[in-house]
Amino acid sequence: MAEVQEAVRAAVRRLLEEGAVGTVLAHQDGFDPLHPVPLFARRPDQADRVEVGPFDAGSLAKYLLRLQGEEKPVAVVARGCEVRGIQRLAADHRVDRSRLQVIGVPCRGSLDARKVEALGLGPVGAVREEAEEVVLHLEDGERRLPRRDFLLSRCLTCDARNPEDADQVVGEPVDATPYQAIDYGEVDRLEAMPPEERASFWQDQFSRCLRCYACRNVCPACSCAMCALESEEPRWLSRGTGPADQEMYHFIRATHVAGRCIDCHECERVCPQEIPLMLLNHKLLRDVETLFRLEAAHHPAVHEPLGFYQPDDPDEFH
Amino acid sequence: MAASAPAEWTPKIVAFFCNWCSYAGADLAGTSRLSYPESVRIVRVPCSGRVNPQFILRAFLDGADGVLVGGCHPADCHYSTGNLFARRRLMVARRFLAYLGIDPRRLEIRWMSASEGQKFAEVVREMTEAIRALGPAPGVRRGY
Repeated sequence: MAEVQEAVRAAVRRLLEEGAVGTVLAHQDGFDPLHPVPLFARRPDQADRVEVGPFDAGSLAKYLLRLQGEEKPVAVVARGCEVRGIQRLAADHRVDRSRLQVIGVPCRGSLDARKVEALGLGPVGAVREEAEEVVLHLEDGERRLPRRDFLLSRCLTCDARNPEDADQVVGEPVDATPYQAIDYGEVDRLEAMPPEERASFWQDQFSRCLRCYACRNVCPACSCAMCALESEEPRWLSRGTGPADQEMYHFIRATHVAGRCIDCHECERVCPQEIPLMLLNHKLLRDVETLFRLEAAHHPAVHEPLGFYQPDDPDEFH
Repeated sequence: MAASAPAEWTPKIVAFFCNWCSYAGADLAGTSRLSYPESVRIVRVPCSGRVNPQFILRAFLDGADGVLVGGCHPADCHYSTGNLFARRRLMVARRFLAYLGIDPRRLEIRWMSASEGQKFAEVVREMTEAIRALGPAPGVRRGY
């Protein structure tokens, strides 16, 4: 990965030196290597701060909204999932793809910092990748982690490891076969419950919600300038966190991305309360696919299933 | 009225009816002097395509025991295609509301034309009986 990182830095430096773009969006180290933060590089010397590592969990796609309307085009270092997010935003006319350079990086999956933190290893100094292992440098030596066991949930089912729409790709293509198919087991379990039990399951989950809006803010499918969740007129929900407001909040968030969700799991990853939001998104994804006979409806190239109709759609309302 | 006497309990059904079909159908039921239960409260909308699934959840959260959506039969939409968009959206929304724990038997979506006053009266009658059997919706007025 170190060579890829050098090549990405060189590409970023070149773009900024040539003046082809005004800003490059990438990851950089945060307070430790497990928690990278976005980098908005505007000078060539800042290219050396670009990090390409196994803990780059967060998607940069949504940050592009802040860079729309800049004088010069913008570039972004993006993995396949982030490219999907960009495609979603471009399809929604929120990002101007013609003024965006995508530096694509093939990816074998990012590691879940929460899973690593759960090991209680103490401060992590540096991280390096070796084949199927990620090596953490700790105060008292090294710790080798088998990559597969620490992947983010989205990376296990990722079908976009090689960026689909990049202006340049840095690094060799990787094996694109997903580790596993989307797991609907928990959705099945919920569907099998009696309605009252399901209602209380969700009320328990939603009661933990802090209404921090992180799930909305990170979502590449959720970018309306005027958001129903904040609308005063009509006022769909108050700012309170009572059960009715919580249910309405999560209903709106999930249904507004129905058929548009790219299955990136970012909402669930950023949730500070670990509410299983993908159980909502997966239910909608599977229903949309089975009802309207679609495959891979999470792919942004699939025409929004709820944005059009077929005259011969199934009819159950008689 | 004694709300405690179950035999007399009448469910509250909120209906979202398309102006061009089911709303006129309900009107026809009235002018035809058909009797139907007083359980239904009709909200007139320009098209079933106007029915945001949030309307349905809002009604349940505010205490409805049932929700009925009425639209034009496919191919009869006043705006050509509104009900076809609604069909897709409501098929997904219906399953999703059930997934969140709202009993699917409390939500009916029916195509009813302006000439189907009889059908309107029947649907309301059937639905009222079905919901009366289910009892008041649990967790209504759950507070804000």
